[in-house]
Amino acid sequence: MSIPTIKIHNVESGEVIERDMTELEIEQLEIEKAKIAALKEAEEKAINDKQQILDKLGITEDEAKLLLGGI
Amino acid sequence: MTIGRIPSVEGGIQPTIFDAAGDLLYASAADTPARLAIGTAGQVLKVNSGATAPEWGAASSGGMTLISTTTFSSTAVELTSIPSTYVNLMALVTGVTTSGNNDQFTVQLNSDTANHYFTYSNTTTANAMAQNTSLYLTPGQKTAGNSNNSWAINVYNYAQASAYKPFAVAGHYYSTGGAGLYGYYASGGYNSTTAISSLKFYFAGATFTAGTVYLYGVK
Repeated sequence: MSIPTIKIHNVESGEVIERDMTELEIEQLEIEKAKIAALKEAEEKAINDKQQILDKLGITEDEAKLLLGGI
Repeated sequence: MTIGRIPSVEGGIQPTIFDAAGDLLYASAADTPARLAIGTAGQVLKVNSGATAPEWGAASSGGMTLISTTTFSSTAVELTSIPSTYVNLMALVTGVTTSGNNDQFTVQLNSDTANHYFTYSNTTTANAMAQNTSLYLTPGQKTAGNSNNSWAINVYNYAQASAYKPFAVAGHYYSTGGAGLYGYYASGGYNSTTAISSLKFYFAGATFTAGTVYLYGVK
C-alpha cells in the first residue's frame, strides 16, 4: 500500500513541496476516515428510521411533508 | 494691477511661500500659513495620524488580492504561511476531482482536528446543524471525477487572535450516489481564538487528480 502524500504550498515564499505524510498525519487521516464513516452510518440510520415510521403510518414522504407543513 | 498674485502686505501671505506647481496652502497653526508640496501620481489628500495637518498618501486599497494559486494533487493539500494582513480570506476551489468515489471533501483550519467547527449546512437534500472536527463540504455524498465540483470558502476575521471566526461556504458538487449536481451552503463559526495561518484540503480515502484552489485576501 502506498504511503499517502501531502502537498504543502507556502503562500508567502511560493515554495511548494510534496512529501510522504508523517506517521502522525497518517494517524490523523485514519481517525478522520473513521469519523466520516460514523457520520455516514448515523445518516443512513436516520434515513432508515424515517422510512420505518413512514411505512408504519402507510404514507409517503411527500404526504408526511404536507401533514407537517400545516397547510 | 497684477493679476494672479496675492498682494504682499503686512500680515498677509507672501507669494514666495509657494515653491513649485501643485503646492497647496494650509494653516499649520492659528494664523500660520504653511505649504504642502504636491504628492506623487495617484496619491490622495488625507489627514495625518495626529489629525493636525493634511498630507498626501496612498488611496486605501479595497477588494480582493490573489495570494496564491495551487493545483490539487497528493492526498492532501495545505496552504501555509498565509499572511495576516487582510481582513477576510476566500478560497475559491474549482474542478476538484479524485482517484475514486469518496466521501466528504474536507477542510481544516490550522490543521485543527478538535471539535471547533460549528456548522449549519443546507444541501439539496437536507439541512443539518453540526459540531465537527473539520468542515465537510460534500455531506453524506460521494463525489469523484467531475470538474463541476466547486466551492467558495469565506473565512472572516481570520487573523484575529482574540475572537472566533465566522465562515460561510457556497458551492456545488457532483454526487455519484445521486447522479447529479447537489447545491451546498454552510454558515457557521470556527470556535478558536488562534489566528488562522493555514488551510488544509483532503478526501480521507483518495488522492486528488485535478483541481485548483485560488486563495484571495479581502480588505
